[in-house]
Amino acid sequence: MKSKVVKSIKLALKSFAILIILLINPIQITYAAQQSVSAKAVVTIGSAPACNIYSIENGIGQDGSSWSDAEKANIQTVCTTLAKSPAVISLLQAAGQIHLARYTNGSLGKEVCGIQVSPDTIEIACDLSSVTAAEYMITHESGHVIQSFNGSVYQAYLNSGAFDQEGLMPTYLYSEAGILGWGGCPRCESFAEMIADNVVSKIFNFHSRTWSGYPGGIWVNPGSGWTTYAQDRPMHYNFAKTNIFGGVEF
Amino acid sequence: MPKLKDISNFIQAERVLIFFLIVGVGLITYLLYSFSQKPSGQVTWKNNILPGQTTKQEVEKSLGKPLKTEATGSSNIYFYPTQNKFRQDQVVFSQNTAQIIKEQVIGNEKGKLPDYISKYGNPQAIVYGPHGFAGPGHFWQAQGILVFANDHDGTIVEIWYFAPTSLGKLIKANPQLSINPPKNF
Repeated sequence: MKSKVVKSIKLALKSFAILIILLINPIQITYAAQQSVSAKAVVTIGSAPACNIYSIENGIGQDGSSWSDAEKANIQTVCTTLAKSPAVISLLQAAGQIHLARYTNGSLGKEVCGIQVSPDTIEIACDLSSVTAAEYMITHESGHVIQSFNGSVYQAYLNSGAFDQEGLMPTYLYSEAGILGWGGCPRCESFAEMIADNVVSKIFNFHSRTWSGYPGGIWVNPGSGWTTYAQDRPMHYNFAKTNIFGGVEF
Repeated sequence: MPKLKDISNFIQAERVLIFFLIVGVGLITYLLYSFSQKPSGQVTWKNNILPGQTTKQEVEKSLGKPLKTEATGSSNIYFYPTQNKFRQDQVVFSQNTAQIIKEQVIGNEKGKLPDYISKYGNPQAIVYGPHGFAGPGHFWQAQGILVFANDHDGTIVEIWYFAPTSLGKLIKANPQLSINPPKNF
């Protein structure tokens, strides 16, 4: 009689334990993180990353190319420029190392110079032997890296209302409709362009932009109705100055 | 002739069995009740608004008149204020029923991405949409939620609520979503 009761209790306890385990620990469906980078692989040249932020790499595959010495020097200059702001360096360092892979000019698409293909990988397919072009392009793409690794800063940008009040940065190549057309993210592009423009607006000769009416040239009185970046798009300018560059102006 | 101790043990064992029986029946009743209230763990939005079930009239009764409305095709979008004047929650209605809710997350009021992973397990899929790599969408089918959050610091920027559906159907109904990583130019 006693052993029968003990067996019953053990069975009841086991059943109860199994029930509890099933309730609090349901079978979890695993998922594969879909964060794979471009199909194009990259290889690191040598062992010295530029500025401890950028890893300068050759693209491989039929469109793979290599950086010229002038371009490598210009990437170093970009680092030196950005290093004036410890705040932006800190944001970039969240990515660990940023991969800059060089591809044949024009191979990424018509008028496409750079693409962020994964959170920490940028492909470049245009001539960056001009230092201002390098500063513009590398800082724009680095802006994408910053938003990819610093969600709280991106959220603060959304909260700032800069995009809602001032729209897409007018120096960007495409309109909002164009960005949506390729499945892109207008707020992401404006965020990246804002960062680039805080660095280069006074020195880089932007192309004219039909969609925004930007007349072209450096953003210092480029044409009727335009003055400077800081005055024409103050919410973007001040957001980047404060939240990205820690108060540093270029 | 059973001893007094045996009788005592038997009575105590019976009590234990009865206790577990009561607890078990209680749990099963609770689960049955829960499942009858909403389909398979679907997450509700504020004031128990449930996509796929709550009507336009019920939403208005619960949240009041929207700040503005927009008509797009066969859908109506109601915009409701948040703590941030630039960002409004959206309730998308189709055939008089809330189909999808797009909640804007202003700070950490909805927690962080790891909170959702520890609560619901790993998401069934990652999709990319209005926030690119800055906030990929983390898809939980049974819960009917898509949490747009940064993978690196866990910051949540937006949450979509919908009646549990397959990823394919969700993407078909929302063409701005894609399983392919975006290309940011």
